[in-house]
Amino acid sequence: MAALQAVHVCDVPNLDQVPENAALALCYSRFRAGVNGEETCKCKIPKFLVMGHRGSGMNMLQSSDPRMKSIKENSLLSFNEAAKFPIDFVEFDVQVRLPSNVRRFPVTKDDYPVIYHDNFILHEQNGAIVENRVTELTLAEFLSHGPQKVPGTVGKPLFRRLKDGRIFEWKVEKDAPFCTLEEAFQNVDRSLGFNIELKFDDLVVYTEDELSRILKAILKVVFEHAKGRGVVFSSFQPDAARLIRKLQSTYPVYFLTNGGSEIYTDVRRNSLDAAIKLCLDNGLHGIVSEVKAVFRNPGAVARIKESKLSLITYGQLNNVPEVVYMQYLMGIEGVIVDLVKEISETISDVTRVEEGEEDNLYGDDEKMRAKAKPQFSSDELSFLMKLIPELMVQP
Amino acid sequence: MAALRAFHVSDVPNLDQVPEKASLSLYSTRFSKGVELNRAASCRTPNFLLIGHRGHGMNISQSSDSRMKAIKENSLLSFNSAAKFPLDFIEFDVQVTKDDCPVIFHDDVILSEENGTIFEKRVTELCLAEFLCYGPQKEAGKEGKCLYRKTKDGKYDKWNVETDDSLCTLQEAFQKVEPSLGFNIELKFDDYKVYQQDHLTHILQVILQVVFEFARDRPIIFSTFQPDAAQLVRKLQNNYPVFFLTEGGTETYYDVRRNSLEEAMKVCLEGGLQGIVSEIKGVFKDPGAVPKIKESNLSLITYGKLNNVPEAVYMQYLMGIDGVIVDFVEEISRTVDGMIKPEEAASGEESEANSKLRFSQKELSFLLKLIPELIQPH
Repeated sequence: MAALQAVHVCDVPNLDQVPENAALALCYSRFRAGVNGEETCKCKIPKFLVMGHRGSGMNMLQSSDPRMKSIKENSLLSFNEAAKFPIDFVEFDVQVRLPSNVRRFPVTKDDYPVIYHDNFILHEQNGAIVENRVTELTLAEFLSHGPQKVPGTVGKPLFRRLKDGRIFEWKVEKDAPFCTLEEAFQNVDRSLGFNIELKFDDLVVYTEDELSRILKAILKVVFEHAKGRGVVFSSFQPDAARLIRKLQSTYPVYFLTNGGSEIYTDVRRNSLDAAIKLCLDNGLHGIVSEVKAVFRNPGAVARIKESKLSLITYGQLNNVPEVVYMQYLMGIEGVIVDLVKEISETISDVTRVEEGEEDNLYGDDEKMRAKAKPQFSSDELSFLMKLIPELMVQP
Repeated sequence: MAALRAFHVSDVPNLDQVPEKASLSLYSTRFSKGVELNRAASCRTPNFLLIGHRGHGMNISQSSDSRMKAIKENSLLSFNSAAKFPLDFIEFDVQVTKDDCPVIFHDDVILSEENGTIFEKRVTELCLAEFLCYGPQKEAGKEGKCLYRKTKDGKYDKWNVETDDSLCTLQEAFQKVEPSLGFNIELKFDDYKVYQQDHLTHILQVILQVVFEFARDRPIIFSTFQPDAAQLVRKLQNNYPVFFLTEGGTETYYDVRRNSLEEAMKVCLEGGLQGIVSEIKGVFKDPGAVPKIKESNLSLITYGKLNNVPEAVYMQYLMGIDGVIVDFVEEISRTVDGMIKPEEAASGEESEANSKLRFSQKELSFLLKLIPELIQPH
C-alpha cells in the first residue's frame, strides 16, 4: 500500500476545492523510533489501531471502578493524558449549535463545533436540575458548565442523566473544562490522531440542509487547524456519513453501527450487512461496530474485508485484553477502548514487534514478550470462531 | 477409578441394612466389556461421560429446530432411541404420584384442554391411573387426554412431537430400556415448596424401593436440585452416587444453598455426595471453580443449551469436566468420537497429536479468561 501523507492546509484553500483522492493521513509512526532513536516514519499503516474512547476513556458515573471516573471525558486533559500511551487516535464527539432557521442565517462564530457526548447537558440551579439541548446553547452558555479556564471563576455545577434516567452529579477525580474542536486541534499533542464522531440526536430527523450546514461548520475548523494531524470521521447517522464523504475526500469516513443490538426505523442502522451496503454505496472507508455484534457474527468480518472495508470496534468488552487480542487475530483493524493504559500496553507488545520484524527493530527480549501471547493455529481459530458466537447468546 | 457396579436386590434386603459402600465410581462399563477393569485408572485423561437429556433430548414444541420436537421426551421410545448412541447414561425426571408410584415426567404440572379451557393438575396429586390417562395410550383404540404445555412466553400450546409415545413409570423404564444404559435419575421436587423431613424420606423410600427391586446391573446416578433430598438420599443408601444439581449462580433462590457453585460444594462435602451437576454457564462464568471442585474430590457434570454446541463440549473436556448432559445426542456423540477420542488415544500412547485442536496450557489459560467475559452481559 502506498505511503500515506497528510494534506497540508495550503493545498486545501477552501472546501470546494478539495483535491480528489488526496492521500489520507491515517498512518501513525508515533512510537516507531529506529534503533538509533531517530524517527523512521515509513508511514506504514499500523496493523492494529488503538483509539482512546473520548480521550482517556468515557466517564461511567454509576461504576464502582475508579478508572471509569478518573479524568473528565472529552476534555483537553483527557486527550493529552491519552497521548502519553502508545495509541494512535483519540475518539471524541462533536456537536454544532444549530440556529432555528438554518437558511436565513449565515455561518456565525456561534456555529463553533464543541466537544461533548450527550445530546443534553444538565446543571443544578437553585436546587433544581436544568436540562438544555447542547445544540441550542450559545458557545458561552455551553462553556459556562463545569470547571472554568479562568482561575477563580466557578462554572455551573454539572450533572448527567444516564440511559436509565438516573441523574448523577458529574464528579471525577481529575476534572477539566469543556472545549471546542478548534482548541483540541491547537492544544493536543500533534502526533495524536483524531477520530471525530459527528454526533446527532437519534430521535431527530435532519434535513439535508441542516446536515450540510453542520458538517461544513466542522470541516471549516478541520481544514483550518488539522495541519499534519491524522483525522478520521465517523457517525451513526447514515446521511451524515454519506454527506461528509461527498463534501470531502481528504479524510477517511467510517460508518458507526451497533450491528443490530438495537433496532431503528432507519434500516441502514440495523445490521453489519446494512452497514457494508452503505459504505460500498457511498465510498466510505470502513465500519466502526459494537464488538458484540462482530463476535455474534464472526463471518461478517470476512465479508467486510472482501468488500475492502476497514473494521474497527468499540464497546465495554474492548476493555478486556483477551477480547482485544482475539480481534487482532481475527484481522480486525483496530479497537476503541476506555482503559487506554492497560490495553495499549498489552497490545503494543505484540503488534509493534510483528510490524517491526521486517526491519529488525526489536531485540530478543521484546520478541519473547510478544511470543508470550498465545499462538492459535488456524484450526484452533476456526474452532474459536464457532464457539464465541454461542457464548454470546444471552438468555 | 474402579468400575461402577450395581448392587443386587438380594444384597439389600431392606433399606436399613445397606452395606458399606463399594465403589461409587462414575464411569460406566457400558463399553468396556473385555477390557481390564482398571483401564480407567491407568488412563491419564479420564473418560468423559455423555448423558442424554430426558433420553434423546428435551422437547421445545415451538422450536424451529426439528431436533427439539422429534421424539417425546422422558418416554421409553426416547430412552431406547438414545441407547443406539454411545451414551453412558440417560437422564430423566422422577416424581411420585398420590398413590406412591414413581413416574417419569419433567414438569410439576400436567396440562390438557377441554372445551376451550386449559386444565392443570399437579402430577403429585394424581394417582397413577389418572396420570397415565394423558398422552398416547398403550391400548389400541383408547384415546388419551391431549397433552398441552406452557410456552416460554406464558401461552399454552399442544405438546406436538414428530414421534409420540405414552407416559411411563420408573419401573417400566427399568424393565424395558436397554439394560446396559445407565440411568441418571433426577429426583424432582417443587422449587417453591418447603418439604418436611418425613415427607421427603417417604418419597425417596418409594423411589428407592423400585430402584433396588429393578435396577440389577444397571449403573445409576441420583441427582436433585433439592439440597435436603440430596443429602437424604445419600444417607438412605450407599450404593449409588448422588449428585447435587445447581444452576451455578445463574438463578437466585430463597435457599442460599442453591445459589452458587461454592454453596453446592458445601452441600456435597457436608453430605458426602459424589459431585455436582451444574448449568454450564455457571461454570463458564467462573472457570476457577473447576479445579476447586476437583481438589475436593468431587465430580463435575454440566447441563444446559450450550452443551449442544460441539466446541463448548470440547472446551469442557479440556477443562477437566467429567461429563455433559446434552439434547443433541447424535451430534454430540460425533463430537466425542471426532474430537475427544483422538485426543485420548494420542495422550495414552504419548504419540504426536493427531488432533489438530491441541490447545496448549497457555492457550487454555487465555481462553479461560476470555470465556467468562463473553458469557456475562456487558
